[in-house]
Amino acid sequence: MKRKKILDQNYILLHVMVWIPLIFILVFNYYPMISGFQIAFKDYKPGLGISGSSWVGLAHFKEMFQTQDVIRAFRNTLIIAIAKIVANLLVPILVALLLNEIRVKWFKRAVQTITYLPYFLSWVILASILTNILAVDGGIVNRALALFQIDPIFFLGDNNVFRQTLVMTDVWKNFGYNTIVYLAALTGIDPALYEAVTVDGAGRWRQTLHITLPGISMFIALMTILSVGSILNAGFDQVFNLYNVSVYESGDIIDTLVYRLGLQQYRYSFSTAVGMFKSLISLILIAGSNYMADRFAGYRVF
Amino acid sequence: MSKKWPRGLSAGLLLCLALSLAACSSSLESAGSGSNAVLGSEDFSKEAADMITLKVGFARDPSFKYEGSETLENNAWNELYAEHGIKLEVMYNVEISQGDEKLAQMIMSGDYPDIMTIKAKNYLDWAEQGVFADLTPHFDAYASELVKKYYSDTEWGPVIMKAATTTDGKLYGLPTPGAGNDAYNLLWIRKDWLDNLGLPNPRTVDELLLVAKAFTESDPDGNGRNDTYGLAFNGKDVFHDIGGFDGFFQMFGAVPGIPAGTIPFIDIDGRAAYGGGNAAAVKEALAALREMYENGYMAKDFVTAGSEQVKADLSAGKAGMMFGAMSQISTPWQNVLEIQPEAHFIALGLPGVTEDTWGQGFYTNSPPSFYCLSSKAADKEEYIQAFFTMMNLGTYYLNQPDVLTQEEYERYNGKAGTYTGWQLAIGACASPNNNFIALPRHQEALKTGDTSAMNAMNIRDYNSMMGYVNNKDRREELNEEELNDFNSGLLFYSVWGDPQCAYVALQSMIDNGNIIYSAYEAPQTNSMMQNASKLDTLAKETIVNIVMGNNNIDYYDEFLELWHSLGGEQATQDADEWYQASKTAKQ
Amino acid sequence: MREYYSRGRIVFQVLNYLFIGFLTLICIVPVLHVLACSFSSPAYADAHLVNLWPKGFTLAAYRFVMKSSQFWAAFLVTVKRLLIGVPLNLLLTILAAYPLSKEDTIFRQRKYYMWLYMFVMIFNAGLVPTYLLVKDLGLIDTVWALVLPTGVNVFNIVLIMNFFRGIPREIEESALVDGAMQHTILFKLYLPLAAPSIATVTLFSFMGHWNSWMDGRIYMNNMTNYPLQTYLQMMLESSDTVILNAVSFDALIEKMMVSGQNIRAAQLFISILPVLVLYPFLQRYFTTGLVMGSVKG
Repeated sequence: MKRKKILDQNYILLHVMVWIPLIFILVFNYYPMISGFQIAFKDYKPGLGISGSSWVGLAHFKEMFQTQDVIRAFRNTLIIAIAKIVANLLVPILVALLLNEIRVKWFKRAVQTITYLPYFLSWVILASILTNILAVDGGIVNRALALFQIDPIFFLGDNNVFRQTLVMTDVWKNFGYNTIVYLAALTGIDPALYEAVTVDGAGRWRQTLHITLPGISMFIALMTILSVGSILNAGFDQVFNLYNVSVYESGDIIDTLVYRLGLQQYRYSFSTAVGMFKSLISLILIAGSNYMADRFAGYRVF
Repeated sequence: MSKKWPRGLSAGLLLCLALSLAACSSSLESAGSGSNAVLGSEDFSKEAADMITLKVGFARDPSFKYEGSETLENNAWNELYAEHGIKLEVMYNVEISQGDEKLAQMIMSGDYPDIMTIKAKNYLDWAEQGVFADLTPHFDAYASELVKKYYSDTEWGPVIMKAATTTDGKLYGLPTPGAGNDAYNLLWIRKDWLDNLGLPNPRTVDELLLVAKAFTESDPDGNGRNDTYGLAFNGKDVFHDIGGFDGFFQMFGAVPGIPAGTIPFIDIDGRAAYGGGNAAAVKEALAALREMYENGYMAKDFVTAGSEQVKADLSAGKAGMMFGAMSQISTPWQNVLEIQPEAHFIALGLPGVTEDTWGQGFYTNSPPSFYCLSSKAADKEEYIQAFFTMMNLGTYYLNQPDVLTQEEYERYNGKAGTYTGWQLAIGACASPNNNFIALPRHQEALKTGDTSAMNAMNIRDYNSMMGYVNNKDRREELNEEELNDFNSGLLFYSVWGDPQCAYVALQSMIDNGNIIYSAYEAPQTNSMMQNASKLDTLAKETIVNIVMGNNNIDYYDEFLELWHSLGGEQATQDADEWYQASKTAKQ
Repeated sequence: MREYYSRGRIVFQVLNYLFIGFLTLICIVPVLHVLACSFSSPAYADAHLVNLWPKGFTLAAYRFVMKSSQFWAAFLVTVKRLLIGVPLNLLLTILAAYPLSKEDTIFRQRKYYMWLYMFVMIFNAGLVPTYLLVKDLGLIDTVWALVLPTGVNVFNIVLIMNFFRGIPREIEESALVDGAMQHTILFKLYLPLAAPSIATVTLFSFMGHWNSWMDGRIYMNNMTNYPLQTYLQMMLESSDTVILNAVSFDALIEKMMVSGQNIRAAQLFISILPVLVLYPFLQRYFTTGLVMGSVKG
């Protein structure tokens, strides 16, 4: 009996625990949504307030599908996000594999520590630095390229290279951190497997192909599936601080468009509608990827 | 960011430049207007037994420093207001580039300041939505004589007053005048390079191209290296006070865009039309730009070069010329002196296409900003009175260097280079043209040392200028503080002191009538407001792409069609309607 | 493991070290560049003539920043938000993660709670309603506006939740048998076991607060209340606008003295400094925490 009582109290305790943070969410996230959601369906005029503005139903959503800027933003978001996922996968794995071959302990340590640095710097700071070094005339990178007889590249101004610039700088910022993660995964592989294969005369390369990669394949698959959910966040902080008018065509993403529409063009209702549509799709993606992770890897994230 | 904000303001800011350096224009009777002119028809100071608290918001530069022991709450202006029964409650105090966003945020949330400075692009919209109080019935009662004269007895006063009045005849804010003649683009050029190469000041576009070529290929700084180029351009903002393309197009009589970001309208064949509508002229300009780009007379990466980069190139002695406003050469000049002590920048009026024509400055008097009272105070008499009192005070103390003593002037306006007191004030009417009045005084004083004709403001600026003139040849010996004075003085010298300074060039533009007048001087209509930013971006992208060779020059015709179809047509019709009406009104 | 030392292997090793070395270099060169600018004279810095070594060496920039009360006020705000925000974040994360890590059979409403939490990761109300709420609660211009709305971070919750799931159920069960209450189990048993992933979440929370700039911009109406990154963002973005907006010559002059490239570099560097100093020490904890938190057994 006492045991049941404790179990019951414990049960209630669990609820209590869950509710404490939930209250924060209810207040700061859900409550504003009440008015927030309405704005997307109204023609919000600040002078009239939210309740004073008139309903327009799905007008903004219809308009969205016909607005070039919105379509462009969705397209850019997808392309950039997918490129980032792939690049942020391939590069750290490669570096982790290479780093695994490094035997000199202090060198390995130093590399890990130093490459981890850009991860900690905010995009505000990095953008300032990058604008400086990626400058075409006199920026360090282009001057270095000139030594190899390569023409200067307008990293931040040419639509043909801007996306690549975004992806590369993102990888540069994150690869130190990601490498450490994959390195850890690598060390999780049973050494005995390597022993067995070495005895059979497999070289390092064969070992990598047949032991290492399969060993972390589950991990890789998981990380990929999990990042699908955030595919519509192509990185507001980064793009906002790096972009300019001449690269809107290739670099304007949903979040930056929503920001501009709302706070610079004062088309607040429309921008809210775009944002809401984005959230809807994200929801579907997250639910989908979670389901896939469950079926495929038996792994429940949520 | 810099990035992503619409640059609305050069005209208005240069105007404000005039504001702080303002003297009453000679058409106003300044002599004899004692402090009675400050207040309205009644003396309020006795009735202000209880203080009114007005909510305000400041968007100020973070470099602003208080004088002595002054603070946000406790300074000369607050004291002045307090003497007249007004206390200020500061709702927000942010950096100037975030002022727009902050104010928009406040208005959108329904809790906004009582007194606001509203930019032109928002004025009509928000007035329609009932954000401001209707001032029409109160102007006569509460505005001081000085303020009334300002709006009726000057050449610009009635124009801007009309611009502030909505179609149903209501006045929702007190307007400030556009920068007018102060805002024209000038061609800033390295005189020492011209001398080294034995070239005259460029007078035509062809000569300009020759100079650009020489600056790029003929080693103008004589250091034996091929490290210079001709013209620095701001390809990030495209239309800007520093290195903007608008100056270049104005040489051909075209105005495809202006820093303010609004649609520029000019008279083409008797009708109001888009400033870039003269396709032949624009394409000629584009051809010249293409040539320069191909040959490297301008930087290959101009598209990512913002004003910082333009200044950097000039500072490094890499570039020899730029188009820019009258005050914008001082930073590059002061920096380049460190590595090239012989550097000397002069200002030239915009070259013309032929020997007989000149480039033309774009004149607009469209008010860039308005002082408005919150609609929530509309029914409270004391608030309305207080609003006008502040305007009256501001106009009196900021605008009359001829009347105020030196000490008074500096207390409320600020000391050159150390204290910008006027940033603490809210609201004032300004007078353009004062900088032109200052020019002969400065030039005379530099020659003869005679400062008797100068008013408080002139003297303040002149003293600062001497900080440069006296130390011109001993720059390396100066300590940090003296160097700061030197640099401040250089600014004034570049504007007023040099025989070929900014105002000499500006004055010649006026004397020769090298001005295109804006064909639309009223508040922005709906079609203009909704489409301005989109059309402006389109123009920028088109120009940049053509110059870089991504599109050929004839693409400009396509652009014009696109421009009209994307809302430009309606905007032009609105403008022309007003233009025709104002022409008949003048007759 | 035995190693082969064939020719091919040696070539590979050399190239490998070079390549890795190059990668390392590109991570540190930008920082060196900023450092160099901060010690250079404005003329050289503005003209972009500085590479990796100062030109016209001067301490003027640092002196200026040291005296700049604005900068340090912003720094202080960030420190405050760290001191309050990180512990708060941790506490809320743990409180949510623990119940959510229980099986559905034990904690039957788990799924619904999970949905409630998940939903906010995806949908947000937008700037204006959130601002209105914060304003109505009287939090504008206080550090609470920076700390409370983001008090709950669902990503972190998921991380810790997964880690808790990895802890054998027997531990909980035997504790229950002994008559322990859930909160005791959580704080006395689970937490110590989850140390690595707690450390990871602390890092995430720290970095989140340290680097966040948008909320400061929206919720602070007074520049003096800006956190550090908001202040930096303002300084770095503004120099264009401000020169343009210089409403008088005096303001122009003041601005010139304040916004030199060398001053900006000094500010940048000082704000990186704490991170530069701290993170090498913390690095070793997060590796394990991360991996173990994301991959189950």
